[in-house]
Amino acid sequence: MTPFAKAALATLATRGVQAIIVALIVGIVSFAMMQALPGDAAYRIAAGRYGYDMMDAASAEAVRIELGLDQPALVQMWTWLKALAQFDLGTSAVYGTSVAEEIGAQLGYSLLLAAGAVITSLLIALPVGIVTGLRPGGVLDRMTLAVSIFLRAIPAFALGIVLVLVFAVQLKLFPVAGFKGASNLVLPSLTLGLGLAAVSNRVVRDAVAEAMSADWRLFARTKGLSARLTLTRHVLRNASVPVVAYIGVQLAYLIEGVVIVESVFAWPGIGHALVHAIFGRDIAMVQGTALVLGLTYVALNLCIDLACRGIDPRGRAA
Amino acid sequence: MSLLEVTDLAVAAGSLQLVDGVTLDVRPGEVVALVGESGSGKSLTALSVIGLLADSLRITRGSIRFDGVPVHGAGGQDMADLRGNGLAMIFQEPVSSLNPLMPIGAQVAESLIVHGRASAADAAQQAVRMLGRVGIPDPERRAHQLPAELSGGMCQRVMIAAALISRPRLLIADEPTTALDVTIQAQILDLIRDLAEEEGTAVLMITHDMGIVAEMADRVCVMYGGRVVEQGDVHDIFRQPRHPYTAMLLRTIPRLDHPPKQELFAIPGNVPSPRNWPQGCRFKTRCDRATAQCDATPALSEGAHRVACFHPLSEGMT
Repeated sequence: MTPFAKAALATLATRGVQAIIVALIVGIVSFAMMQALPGDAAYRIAAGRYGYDMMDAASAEAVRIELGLDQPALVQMWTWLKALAQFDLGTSAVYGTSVAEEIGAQLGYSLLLAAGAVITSLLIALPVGIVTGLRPGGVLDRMTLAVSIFLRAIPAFALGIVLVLVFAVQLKLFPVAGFKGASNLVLPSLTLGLGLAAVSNRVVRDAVAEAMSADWRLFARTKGLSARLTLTRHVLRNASVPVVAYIGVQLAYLIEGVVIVESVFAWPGIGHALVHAIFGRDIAMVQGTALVLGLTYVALNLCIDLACRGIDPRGRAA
Repeated sequence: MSLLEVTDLAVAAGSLQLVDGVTLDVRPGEVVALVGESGSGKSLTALSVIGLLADSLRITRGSIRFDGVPVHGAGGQDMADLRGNGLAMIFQEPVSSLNPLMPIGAQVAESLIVHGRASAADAAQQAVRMLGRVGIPDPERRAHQLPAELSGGMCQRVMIAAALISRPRLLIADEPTTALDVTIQAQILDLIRDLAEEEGTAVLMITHDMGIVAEMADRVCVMYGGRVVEQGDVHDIFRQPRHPYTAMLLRTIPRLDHPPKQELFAIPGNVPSPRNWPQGCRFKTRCDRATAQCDATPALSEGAHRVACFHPLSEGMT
């Protein structure tokens, strides 16, 4: 077995254990938070099923008995965890459909949006960061710093609404919301991507600036490499190590952002479903989506780990 | 004829003069030591020669000729042709001067490849041979290792291999042993001297260590405050230093034949920073022979043993 494969396996094992711990914690915390919400869950679920004007105290009581909401909280949680151990996420309290199937249909859309956001952020952050990193302290550097602070300071939902007002309502370049085709992907990706790029362009800039002032860069120049060749052969690869690692740090922002931006753009993804489920007190759906979000976070982090190992061979032998 | 001829070189950062009239020459195959304290301008002189001064620095005066051809001001392309071809350089920090992500074999082979002097496969083979010549054990295997897997002394050998694989006519060595253990220093100096002799490579050795000068150099060039103050054959300078600064430098070498526990000699005062260089002779503030005449700038005398001083020491005065 190559050292790389061995290290990759070790990473995989660590992340596997981490995934189990995350599943437990997310399950317990999200359950506790659903319990802590004010109001009668059975009443809200019944309203979700039959409509507010069609339900009464009797139907709420029926729901309470059916879903076991009358049982102690600890018993309910134990039931959920037991089912989870058999890979059963249960059924939606409101729609009666399988939670796993619902999530299966939505997760793809969320991943599409997340990928769109990361690609957008890289399309912005890489060129901007490289150009400013080559001339740190220059006019462009200071300008992009100001724009970065501005964009980072705006919450994603506000930026999303501004983009919709300008590009969808006024200029009519892109659709306002929903998902009918690729053009729907542009504004939500841009909303999230700008937020991500606001920080990552500075990370790219710092990484490039540091690599440009490294001793090994000067030594490469003495060997007769042109400035351009030194950049492509030496500087960019070294600079990419912290940049890729930082994408891992941004995953938390990304997942949080997906939930919010999906709601703003009525995107048919898992984040939108989560918000809906919380309002409808659809406990099984909330538990299921929170769990999948947590596990997606672990899985994406694993990808970042492997990518880092691919770029930076140091420590592979160890 | 001289291989390298630097005449009245001046380097400035903005309005701040850092090197102010350096004249020196290196003949084919000889070792010239460029001596001076930190801030005397010796490294800047070397970087001017190889054409890799930082963007903030400018050559404001003087000429540099390599093999009779002016290099300063000649287009950037000519300079890149010369680097890693006729001219090579090694640095003080061997570990940080190697790209941490690139196997050492590839870094040694690089100058051959960028100058189109060997195919990739041929260059890799030559690199392994060169690694063997600089004393890397098991070069075949080591060529695939990263700098982090090698000690500092080994990294300096790798840098020497990368510089000498192109068979340069002049090697600039900027304090190549300062960062190394004393026991390793001697090995590295021997290696540089032996390889340079075998290949007929001239060496411009930058150092502040008079012990290294005595061991390595054919001729010496002493710098102070951005200027050359004395230049001549190593025997002449050690037997009869003419500039008071050179004489004091020589007195700073601890000697085994001195009585024990005797206080070590230190040159009184501090090196003035370029902002506070005195008018006229820059050493006058620390010199015991200074007079009113020293308010004028002394010119470097002509001949084999040259000195820039109004009151040089003569035979029998040290």
